[in-house]
Amino acid sequence: MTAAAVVAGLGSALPERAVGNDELAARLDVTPEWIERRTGIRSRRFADHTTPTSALAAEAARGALADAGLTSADGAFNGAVDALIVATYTPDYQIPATAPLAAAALGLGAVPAFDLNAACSGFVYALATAAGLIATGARRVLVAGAETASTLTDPADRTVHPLFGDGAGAVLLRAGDPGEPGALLATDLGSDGTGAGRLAAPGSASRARLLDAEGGRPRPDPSSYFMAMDGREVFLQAVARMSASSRTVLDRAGVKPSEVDRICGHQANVRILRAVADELGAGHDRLLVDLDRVGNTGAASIPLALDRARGAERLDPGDTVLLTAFGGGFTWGSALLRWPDTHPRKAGRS
Amino acid sequence: MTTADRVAAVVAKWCQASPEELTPDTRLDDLDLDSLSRLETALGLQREFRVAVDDTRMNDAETIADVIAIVETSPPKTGDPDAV
Repeated sequence: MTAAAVVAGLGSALPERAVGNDELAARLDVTPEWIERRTGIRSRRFADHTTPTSALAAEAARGALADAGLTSADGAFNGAVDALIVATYTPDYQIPATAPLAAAALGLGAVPAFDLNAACSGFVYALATAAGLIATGARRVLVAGAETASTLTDPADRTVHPLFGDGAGAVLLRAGDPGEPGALLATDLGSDGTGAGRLAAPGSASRARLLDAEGGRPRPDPSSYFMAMDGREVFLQAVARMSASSRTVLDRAGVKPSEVDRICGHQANVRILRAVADELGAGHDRLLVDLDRVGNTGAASIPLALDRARGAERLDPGDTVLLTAFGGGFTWGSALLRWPDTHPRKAGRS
Repeated sequence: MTTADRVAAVVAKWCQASPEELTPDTRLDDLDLDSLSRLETALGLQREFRVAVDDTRMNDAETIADVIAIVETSPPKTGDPDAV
């Protein structure tokens, strides 16, 4: 029998600096309420130049390893996992990829480590890829979604800058049985590159952007550098694609929409999440919402939301959890899993 | 329920009004409907009436009567997400 990917642990990493709507509103000539009403976001975290994407990925991954009961006396995890995938659209550098840097920081040894860029759908893409590695023999695969998206938005752009935040979330997947709690039941992925221009950031990699921001270099032409988004088209496509992909993954798993206990959508805008729930005929109480405190953290948003929900006891072992995401590309993806019997994180752990 | 009643019920979900307050002459600008609310309303109308609402028409609508006209002249919705 083909091994199923089973969630064995979760971890999170958020930069210390919280940036509330009030701080941004004054600079962008809008009100804090305007930002919250349009998006549901109240605060987000911004990394400083000493905290690149790879550092956030490594911290979240370390949390996932510890959560799964994997500890290390010397801080290195040589042989603990068979691969590390980092989903990100804000890599430290063009070359090397972010994952080898994070793997080295974790002391994972000479394991395959690679980045996956499917924009905000990256975490779901990485889950599906990890499940493929497990189906072909890997025992444990670490998947992290990590972003320093604050580096990719124009601080003067009121339509984009307030939406994004920095952070990372990670899961450790292990080979297991499709019937056990934590098992990934089905996935669905898709893309449509004809929408490329609707959500794009042509600029350089994030480490250079952090240095630009912190090092006092002159601000480049925003159109060549920062993220731009057709909010209207992205909203409509996000709702349509996430809803259709969710139905597909439910069909594949033989699960009815009414049997889904929790929906963890990519945390871009609470109004998109509600619209997807409406399309699926699901009550808004089934939505996991994390964007209020961290904004849109790209590929990190789903694992961050899951980890918070678990800590808040909004996820119970055996729950049927639908993950669905949409991002630049356009890309989209969904996954269905049974929530594992993990211990809620202890208060105070970062 | 008439089409007008059903349209009022959908529109009311995304503004600060109750369905009873909405008449065909009610102006959407008076309802505090922002651009995103108009998209949400278009999606809500699609679900209620199973028609494919052109969101640019919804964006241009000025009154509840305009919204009723959009619903009455929109083609049936297919299962294709591109039809949104």
